[in-house]
Amino acid sequence: MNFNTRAQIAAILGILLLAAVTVAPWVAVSHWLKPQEAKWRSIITHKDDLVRQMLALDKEVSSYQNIPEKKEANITFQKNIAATTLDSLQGFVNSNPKYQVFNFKTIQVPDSKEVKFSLVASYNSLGQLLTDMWNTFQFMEINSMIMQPNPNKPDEEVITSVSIRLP
Amino acid sequence: MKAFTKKLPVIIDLQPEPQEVMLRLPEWMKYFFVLLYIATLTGLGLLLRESIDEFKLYNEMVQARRTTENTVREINTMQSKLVDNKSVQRDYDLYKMRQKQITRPGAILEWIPTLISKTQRANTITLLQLGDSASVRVTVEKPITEPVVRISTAPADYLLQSAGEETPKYNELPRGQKANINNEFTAVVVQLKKQ
Repeated sequence: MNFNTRAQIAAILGILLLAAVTVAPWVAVSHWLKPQEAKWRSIITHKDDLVRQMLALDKEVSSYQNIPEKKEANITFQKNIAATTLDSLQGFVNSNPKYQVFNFKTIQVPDSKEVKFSLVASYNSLGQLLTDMWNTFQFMEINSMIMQPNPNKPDEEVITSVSIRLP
Repeated sequence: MKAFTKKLPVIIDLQPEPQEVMLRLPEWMKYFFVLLYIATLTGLGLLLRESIDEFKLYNEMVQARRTTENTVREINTMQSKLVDNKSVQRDYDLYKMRQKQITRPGAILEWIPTLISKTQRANTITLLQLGDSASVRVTVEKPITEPVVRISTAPADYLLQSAGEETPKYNELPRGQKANINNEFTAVVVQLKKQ
């Protein structure tokens, strides 16, 4: 092998080395960055899934309407249930001067939530009393009601016996 | 006389200029270099494009990480809100159902006067409520010649199941009072069912 041929081979090798150095980053991209790319893509896909999940949740949350009002209503209901006791019932009838109620008597059946009460009232007062009572104690169950004219004042007053169940 | 001759120093060129070109590349290599040059430029172009794409993807990934953190926080908040909403709604539905199940006799009490005509007089009214059914019993003092009112309509939200006439019980009659000689006591019994 003469001197010229060796020189030619050396030049070609040098050029090829330079080309390899130039191409090296591209090879690095292919071999090192591509696996990273797969990882990054999975992070992006995960984000997309989460965003989709969030949107679905948002839709579901929005499907519940008037929640603050319902919350308030629930509190009112709870208070109403808690306030429906024999004492409050007696207080409601006795302390209100607008009802002309006489002989208001209450009996609570032992070990039960059943309460019986009887009263004598004028016809108009009775209707008003019962309406107000039912509106005030909304969870009070009325089992039975018996109304009879007061024998002493049959045209004015009525004797009423009511059996209720407290909540 | 000896002629003086000055000797000039002899310069020995240790590395003489080559007489011919050392590297003689063949003619075709010119095209090879050009091709290599084009290939290198193309490679650089591709590398640049690839790098831009990678950079964009990296940026997207960084943003996705931030979004993921925020979204996870949002999802947690929403889930707790959803649980809260469900619980409020369930309680509300239960209360409303309970409220609906508790029947108020207002509609029946308003309806009872329609059972009694002007010539009749109601004495004892008994109302029994059991679940969605109600039983109404009205003791009426009425002229012997007059039949009881024919019941064809039920109160609002109720269905008329049966209606009839019965002999009143002793405790349903007015205490210490006797009926007019032309009158009699009878009991109107009606069974109703809540719709």
